[in-house]
Amino acid sequence: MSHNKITVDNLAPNSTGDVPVNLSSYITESSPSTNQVIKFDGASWVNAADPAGTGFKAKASVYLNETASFAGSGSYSIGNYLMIQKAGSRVNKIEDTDITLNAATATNTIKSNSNWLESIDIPAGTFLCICTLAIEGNSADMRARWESDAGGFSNYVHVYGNNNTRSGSLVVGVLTTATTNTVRIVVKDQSTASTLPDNVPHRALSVHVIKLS
Amino acid sequence: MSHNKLTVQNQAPDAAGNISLSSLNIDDLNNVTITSAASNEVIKYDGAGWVNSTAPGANVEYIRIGQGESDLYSNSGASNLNSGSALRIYDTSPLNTITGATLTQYSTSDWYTSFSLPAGKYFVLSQFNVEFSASGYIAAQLINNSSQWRSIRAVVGDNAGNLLDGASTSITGLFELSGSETIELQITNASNVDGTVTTPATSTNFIAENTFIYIQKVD
Repeated sequence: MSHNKITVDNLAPNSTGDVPVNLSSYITESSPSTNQVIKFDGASWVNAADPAGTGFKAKASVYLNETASFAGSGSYSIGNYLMIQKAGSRVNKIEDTDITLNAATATNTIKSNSNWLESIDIPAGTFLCICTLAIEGNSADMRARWESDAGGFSNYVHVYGNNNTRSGSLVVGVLTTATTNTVRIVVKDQSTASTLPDNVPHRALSVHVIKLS
Repeated sequence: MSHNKLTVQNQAPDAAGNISLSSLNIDDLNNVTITSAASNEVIKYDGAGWVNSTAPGANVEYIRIGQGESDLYSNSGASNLNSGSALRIYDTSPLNTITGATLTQYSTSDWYTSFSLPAGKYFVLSQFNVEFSASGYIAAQLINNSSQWRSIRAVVGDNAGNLLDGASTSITGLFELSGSETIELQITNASNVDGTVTTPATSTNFIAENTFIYIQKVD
């Protein structure tokens, strides 16, 4: 054997006698594409999408892009889940593939309507849940918070139909769940019931679910 | 040099003259150190060499204090709800995943008076509320221990418009710290706030249930 027949991992020396060694000699490489990284898949080091994409990922978001009035469609009772329109051309919506916006049912809220949501199914993980609450009715009020199947996990807010600056309307919770769970805004108390929203509060009502990890 | 002394990463040539690397792993590279690899870890440079680690940015770093739990404000250790005082926040299991950040409790209670953050950029969401003895307002914002503002000022109350017309009822926004800072949710303005909640006989759960702060480190 002469020195010019030496190869490294079956790679022959180039014209300068150097043997370049590729990463594929050390990992299980398959058709790399732009922005892929080297990560461990549980068995070996492979090229794959950057797992950093799992952090702060939009999972669900619902709010309207025009006003609509439903004030004559019923009133909330204590224990009801908040209803938000989820279908139709006036809806701005994000619904990731592993998320379900559950249709409103008369069991849990004002009325059954498959175009409106009453809760959101989420997979295992840690989630930031945000709601901006607005209600209908000049004399109405609502005290509410985020709840999961395990109970409440956010601050309370108490909003009033006749004074939007009396208290904040931001409901924020962080929920870590080991299994599939269901989150919703629940009416915890009220003196005078609010109805489904009219034009004005509809502009300020929203829910958002973001995966943190 | 004879051919039988030539090795690559301690692998000698075979009879055909090929030095196979197939038995090697990525941590056989001189400047790569792999320690107990777990799924979805990546290889990153740590300033000295290449190591396995959670992907930078894969897990969001955040603080959450306040989740609607009930406790009397008189347990917070606060002596008043006046301008210049910290509005304390209740949480029996606060969340803090920001590396280098700490939360400061009052005594052994679950009331938090302030928090410290390392240098970096942060996103904040916060809301608060108190009880009033008559129509009034309360305003607060994030302020550090050098009296520098770190957020907008929010105001709530029947007469919020007497202080700030059309102001936000919630604190939100971004701020950047060039070094470590201790920050509190500080009351900046107060009118007809019911300060009797600082004494046990007349205290309530209202502030504990309605006040929270969420801070997230961002790039």
